[in-house]
Amino acid sequence: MRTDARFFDGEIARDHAVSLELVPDGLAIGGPEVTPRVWSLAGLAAVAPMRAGYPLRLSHEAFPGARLVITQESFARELVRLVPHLAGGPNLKRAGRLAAIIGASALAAIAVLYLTLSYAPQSLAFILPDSWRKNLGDQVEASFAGDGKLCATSSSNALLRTLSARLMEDNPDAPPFELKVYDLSMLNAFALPGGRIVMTRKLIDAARSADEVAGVLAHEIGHVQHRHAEAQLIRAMGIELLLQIVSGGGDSISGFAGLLAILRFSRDAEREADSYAQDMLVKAAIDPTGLKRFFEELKKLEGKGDSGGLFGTMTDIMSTHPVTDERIDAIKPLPQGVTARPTLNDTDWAGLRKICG
Amino acid sequence: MDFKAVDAAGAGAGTPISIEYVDKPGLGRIALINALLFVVTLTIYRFWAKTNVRKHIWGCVHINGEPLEYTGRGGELFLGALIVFGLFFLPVIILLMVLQLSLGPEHPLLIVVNLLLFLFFLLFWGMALYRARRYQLSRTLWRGIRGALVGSSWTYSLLYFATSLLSGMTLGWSTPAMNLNLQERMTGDMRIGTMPFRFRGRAGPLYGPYAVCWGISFVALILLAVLIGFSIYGLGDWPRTVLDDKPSAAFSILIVFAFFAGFFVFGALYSMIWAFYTAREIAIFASYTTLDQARFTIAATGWSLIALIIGNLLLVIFTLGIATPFAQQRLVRYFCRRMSVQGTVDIDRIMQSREAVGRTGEGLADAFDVGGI
Repeated sequence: MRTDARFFDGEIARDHAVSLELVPDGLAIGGPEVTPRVWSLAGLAAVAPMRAGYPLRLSHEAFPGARLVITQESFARELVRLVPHLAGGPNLKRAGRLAAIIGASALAAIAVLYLTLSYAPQSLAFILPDSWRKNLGDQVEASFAGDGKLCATSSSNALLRTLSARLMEDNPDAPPFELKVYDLSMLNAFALPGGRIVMTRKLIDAARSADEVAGVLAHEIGHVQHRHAEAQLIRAMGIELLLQIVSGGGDSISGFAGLLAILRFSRDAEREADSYAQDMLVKAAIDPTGLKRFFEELKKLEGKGDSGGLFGTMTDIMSTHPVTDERIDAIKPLPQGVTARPTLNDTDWAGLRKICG
Repeated sequence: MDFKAVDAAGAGAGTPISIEYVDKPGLGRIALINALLFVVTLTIYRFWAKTNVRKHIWGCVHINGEPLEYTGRGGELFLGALIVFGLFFLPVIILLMVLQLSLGPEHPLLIVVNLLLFLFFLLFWGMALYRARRYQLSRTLWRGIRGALVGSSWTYSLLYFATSLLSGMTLGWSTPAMNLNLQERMTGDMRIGTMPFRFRGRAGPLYGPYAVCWGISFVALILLAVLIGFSIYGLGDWPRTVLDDKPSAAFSILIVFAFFAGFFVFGALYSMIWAFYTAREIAIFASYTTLDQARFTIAATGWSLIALIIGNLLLVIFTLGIATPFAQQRLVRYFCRRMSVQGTVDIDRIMQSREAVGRTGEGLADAFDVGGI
C-alpha cells in the first residue's frame, strides 16, 4: 500500500513531497529531495490523536523534529490498524507511571509535612536560647494583653510570690516561671513562651478556693515544663510561612485570633500538662480535687454555651483548654497518707481575690 | 481540510505568512479531567494539566496551514518546580523562621528583611519571565523546527529589575521607554530555528497614550482619596470606636468586606483605564517587529482587550476555574485573529535550531505564577 505525503526532515522548515509505502520493516519514505529511509512502526507516534477529517501527523522517536503528514484517509486508517497506539487511546502505561509519580510525591510531601509539624517544633522548642524565648514571650504577651490592665506579677508582688513558692514546695525540678495577673474581659490562663504564665482576674473570681487557682497554675506550669507554647509558636510560623509560599504572600500572625490559635494546645499537650499538674500538686500536698472542681464548673459553663458572639467564645478557657470527662476523671485525689496542707491562708486568699482592686 | 502537498516551488522566493486559529474539539474533556485530577492530586497534577492545555491550544494555531506543536512534558515542569523550591524557597523559609524565632514575630527588623526579600525576588522576576519564554519556545515546533531564545536571562533580569525600580522613582514615566527596551531584548533574542526576529522602533509614539492613561488614573486616584475622606468624615466617630474597641464580629467582617469590595472596584477601574495603553503598546510593538521580509500587525484595541479580560474573568470565576483552559484559548485566539503579517518569509532559510534544549522548565515562572498559559 502506498500514498503521497508531505515530509519535514527536521533540518529545514521547507516541506518535501514524498511517497510512502508500507514495507515489512515499517514505513518506507522516499522522494526526489529525500534520501530513502524506513521508519520502524514501533517507533511511530502521532503528534495528535487520529481524528477523521484531519491529516495524520506522525513523528518517530529516532528522528526528533522530523514530521510526516498523511492526508489520504484510507492509508492513515490502515496504518492506525497496524499500529494501534497511533489511535490515541489512553496510554495506560504512561498514565500508571504518572499516577505513581504524583501519588508518591503527594505522599512524600504529606509525610514530610506531618512529621515536621508534629515532631520538629517540640524538639526545636528545647534548643531555643532563653533570650529568644523571652523575646517571643514579650511580644506574645504585649499583643494579646492589649489594653488590659496588669494587676500584679510574681516578680514584684508578695502574694503571687507566696502562691508560686507554695506550688514549688517539694518540687525542686519545676521550671522557673513568672506569674502575671491581668484584668481582661475573658476567663482564662495561658502559658506563654519564656516561662511566663498569665491568669485573668475573671479566672480568680470564678475560683471558689485557692486550691482551684493552684490547680490551674500547676497545669500551666506543666505547659511551661514541656515548652508547649514555644513549640506551638514554631509550628504556627512554619504553617504560616508555608501558606505564604503557596498563596504568594499574606498576612502575618499578629492578630488576636491568630495568637489565641497558637495558644490552643493539642489534646496530647493538655494531657501532658494535666499529668504534670497532678504530680506537682501531690508533691506539694495541695488537694488536686480543687482542679477537678474547677474543671467541672468549666464544663457546666461550656454546656450552657457562651453568648460572647463569634469571637467571644474563642477567647475563653473552654476553647483554649477544652475540658472533657476523660480529663476530669484523670485527676485523682491525694493518695492515702498524704495530708493536704492549705494552699494559702484565709488572709492571702482574700488578698488574691482583690488583687485587681 | 485539503492543502497543497508541497510549498511553492522555486527556492529563494519568499512566502506570505498567514496565521489562523482553527478550533478543534477536545478542550472541554481536557478541562474536566484537569480540574478533577487537580483536586484529587492536591494540585500536583497542575504541571501535566498545563501541558495538556498547551498541546491542544498550540495545535489550533495554524501558520500557513501547518499547526504549531507543543512538545513539552509535565514531568519537566514538575522537576523545574521542585528545583526552585529547594534552591529558593526552602532557604527563605528557614531564614524567615530563624529570624522570627530569634527576634519575635513583630520585630521591626523583620519589615526590613521582608523588604530586602521583596527586592531579591524582584531581581529574579525577569529571569522567571525570560526562562519561561525560553522553555516554551524550545518546546514549540513549526514544520518540525524548534523555536529558541538565545540571550542571557541574567541580562534580561537586571533590565527588568531596573525597569521596576525606575518606574517607581519616575512615577511610571520611565515605563514606556523601559518596556520598549525589554521587548527589544526579548523579541531580538527570539528565533524560529535559525531565523531571528528583529525589533526596531522608538518609544516616542508610546508616550501619547501613556500620558492620557496616566492623567485619567491620577484624577481617579484623587477622586478616590476625596471619597474615602468624605465617607470617614460623613460616618462620624463610629469607625474609630469600632476599630479601637474590641471589634464585634459583624462590624469587623463588614469593614473588611467593604474594604475589599472597594479595592476590587477600584482595581477593575484602574485596569480598564490602562487596557487602552496596553492595547496601543501591543499594536506599536507588533509594528516594530519583523521576521525576514515580513512585518507584523496586531489590531489590539482597548475595548476589545477589556471585553476579553472581563469575559475571561467571568468565565473563570463562574466555573470555579474549571473553564480556565477556555479563557486561555480565548486569549490566544484573540491574538491570532488580530494578528496579520505583511511581506514574506523565505522558508528555505529557516533551519533547525542548534540551541541546546534544557531538561527542566519554568520552575521560577511557575513559582511566581508568571508562566503565561
